[in-house]
Amino acid sequence: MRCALPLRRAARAGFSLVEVLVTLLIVGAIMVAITQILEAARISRDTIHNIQETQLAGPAIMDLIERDLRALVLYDRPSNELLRVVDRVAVGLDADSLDFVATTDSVVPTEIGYRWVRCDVNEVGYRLRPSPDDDFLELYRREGFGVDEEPFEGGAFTFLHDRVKHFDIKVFTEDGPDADPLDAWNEVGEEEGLPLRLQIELTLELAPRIAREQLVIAPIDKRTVVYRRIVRLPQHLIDSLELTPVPVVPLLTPPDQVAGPDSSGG
Amino acid sequence: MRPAPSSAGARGFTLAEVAVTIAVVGLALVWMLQALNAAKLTAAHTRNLKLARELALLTLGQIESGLYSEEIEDDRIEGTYAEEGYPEFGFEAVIGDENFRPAEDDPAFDNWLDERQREESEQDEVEVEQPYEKVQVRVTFPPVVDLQSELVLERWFPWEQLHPPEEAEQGTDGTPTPPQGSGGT
Repeated sequence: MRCALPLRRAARAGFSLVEVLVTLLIVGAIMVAITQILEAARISRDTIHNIQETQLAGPAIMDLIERDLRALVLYDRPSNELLRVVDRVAVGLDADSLDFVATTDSVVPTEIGYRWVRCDVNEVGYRLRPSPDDDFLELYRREGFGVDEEPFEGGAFTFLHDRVKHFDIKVFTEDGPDADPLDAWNEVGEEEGLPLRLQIELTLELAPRIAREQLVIAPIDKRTVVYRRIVRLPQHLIDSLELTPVPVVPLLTPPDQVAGPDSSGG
Repeated sequence: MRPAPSSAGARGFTLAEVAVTIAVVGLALVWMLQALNAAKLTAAHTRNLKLARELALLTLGQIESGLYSEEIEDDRIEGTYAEEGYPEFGFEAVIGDENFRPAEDDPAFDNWLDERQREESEQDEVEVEQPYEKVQVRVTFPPVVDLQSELVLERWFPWEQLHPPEEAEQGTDGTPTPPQGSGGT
């Protein structure tokens, strides 16, 4: 009798209050821990995004411009149609444009006949226009298939960035710290040749994620980032302005007249 | 009272099992938090490296276009990027076969002795003109944890571009030296 009674009562009564409380406590602790982990993961993601964002688009755009500029070609080109930098302002922001002919392969294939082809030499340009949605500028890369009579116009535009605050190009005709910057180059097709260097400044305003807590190791509160590059055009390019090679079709003679020693001028 | 232990053993976990489970889960959570933190630090380090590359490219462009023409004669240019808005980033550029200064926290290295030796060796060293001159730029930035805190870029420039011919060859004749070797690139 003494044994049976408490056993039967325990079997009927389910959990005791203490058991339920302890269970609640444990479940609560687990929930809090999971929430904190999720929150920490979200904050980490945002922080990493904010840290990395300043080094994603800007340097990539600058690399693209520099790569194109270093591929600038002037072989068999009229000397007043090599490079054009126009000083423009759109909605109160600097929106210079840059156009030239470069040996970068086409990014955008063009349909000719039934084939999609890319060209080795293209018209390349960088243009901005006011963004239709907000006060920013949109940066586009212009690429014209091959080279035509108007190397600074036409072509296909590839979208690069839509939060541009400032795109300024300064042109220098001499080396050294005392050189005077020019805002434009060959704007109306009068200047001949090439400048020695271009200083390109691009300002982007980046969109931060929700978490704005700052890390001491990287000041990520800086949302407006300026990217600056100086591209000194290669010396051999400048030199070849003076030594213009002219393509000449060699004088071919029939095989039976090859006996003449000096007919093949190489 | 006898059935109590057997029924308890059949119904639930023992205290030891629960304790082990909690310990394992706790370790996993701690490890996860550490991983998140490490991801943040790595991201900050990557950002520093990419920014250093960007700044080093800017400096190379500046050297290439003669903005440091006065300092180039010393074969060594030093400065910070405070103008660009990154005062914690500094750079050191060396021309030719010069070496970078050793890190300041290297106690085994005698900086002053090195300096004097370098000056002595520079005095009797005659710079032979080459087609190209090597320029190295080292950008240093505050380290994140114990990750590497510097980036070195190297670029070769035509010799006349770094050492303008008007100083070296003013006496001989006024004609500029022909661009030698630069057409091959």
